[in-house]
Amino acid sequence: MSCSITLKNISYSNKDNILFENINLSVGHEEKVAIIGSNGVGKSSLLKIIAGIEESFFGELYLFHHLIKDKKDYKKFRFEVGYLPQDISSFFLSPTVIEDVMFSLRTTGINKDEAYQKALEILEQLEILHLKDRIIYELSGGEQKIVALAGILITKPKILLLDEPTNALDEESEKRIIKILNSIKKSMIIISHHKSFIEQLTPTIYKLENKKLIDYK
Amino acid sequence: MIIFNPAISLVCAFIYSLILSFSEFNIFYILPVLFLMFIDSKNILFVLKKLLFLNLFIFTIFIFVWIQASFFEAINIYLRTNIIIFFNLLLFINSKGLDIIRGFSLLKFPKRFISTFYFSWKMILELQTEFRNIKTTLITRSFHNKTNLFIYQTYGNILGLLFIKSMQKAQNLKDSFELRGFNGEIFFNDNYKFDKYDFYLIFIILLTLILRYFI
Repeated sequence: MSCSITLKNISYSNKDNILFENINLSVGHEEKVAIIGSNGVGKSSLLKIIAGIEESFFGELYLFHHLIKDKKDYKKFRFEVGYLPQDISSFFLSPTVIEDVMFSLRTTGINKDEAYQKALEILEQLEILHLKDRIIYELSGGEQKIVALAGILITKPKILLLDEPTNALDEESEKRIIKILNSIKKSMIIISHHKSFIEQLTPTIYKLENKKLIDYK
Repeated sequence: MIIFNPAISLVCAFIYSLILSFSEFNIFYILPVLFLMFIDSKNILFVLKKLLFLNLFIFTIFIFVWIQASFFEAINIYLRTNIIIFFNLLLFINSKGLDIIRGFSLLKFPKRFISTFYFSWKMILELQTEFRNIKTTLITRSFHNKTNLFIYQTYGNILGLLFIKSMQKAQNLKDSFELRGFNGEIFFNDNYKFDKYDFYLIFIILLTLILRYFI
């Protein structure tokens, strides 16, 4: 199985505190991997390293067998990797749902009509077409998460990095997210506190504990 | 609720404010204000309250000009300032701020200007939410306004908290720029059409402009 993501001896410190060291992980093509762990162990930092927004780490990060040394190397893989942050309030770069979903396409130069059509398709696929003209900040937390996911999926990334996708969501919204994520065939790393949620997505679960990434049975 | 085409609102607000700023007060300048009052009568009281509050400042200027110059000049400035603010308040009272940015976009302002304006608006909105949350916390944690050091410390902490939050938000936004390939441009999907009220507004502003030069 070809690897989408490979981490070799990744270590990361937050000021004077070593969060984790010598982390090794491989995520195959269309493989779903979950990482759990207590608060503050560095799960989100690990995901940020893979997403290319945290550079101060030691070790080697490979995306599709290419060694990523800096942000410049990451640039050509930017749209291959979709990252959903934990706090999505700053994720949105446009006011309405349709405009934000179209954003990533339009910024790459795709014309307005084509981007609009593709955005409609993705909204329909995620069953949120009825929200298309709504102002994002007026939506519920669950709806915002799905809109953010639509904004990521529109560029057809090969890897999805999801940081607490069901954080602070109700049961109904969590079910919707599970349904959506199960229907997506992509390489994924999912971080969550909810074991029941993770177990419905993948049997491959790791735990970040005592600065190490260990198999979680 | 009538919302004018944002581009037309901006242009009309600019022209009206400009001509009134550089003219002596005349009764026909009230025409656009009367028009807006007529089509959106529900908001008049709300706008008047805002105007009354702003008059704390305008009236101070009036007093200073009266002392420094003359009563006639002071009343002239006082009336013109009030009418300009009243007109703009009536015009944008139903706007959530976003319409104004869309207006700039429709008027083909530079991309950087629009994105800066948009993100400033977004930041204000988020800080407002944070401030509201802090206020709710203060109520639920039995905070009472008093005049003592602890209260001032609390206010200081709140300001510090808002500052830290805004720094965090700014960092998150920077990350989003990078993740989503932001290149300085915000894309709007505007499909505004000209409404009959837009034409009325243009007509009334043009009429005012004509009257200003012929009366």
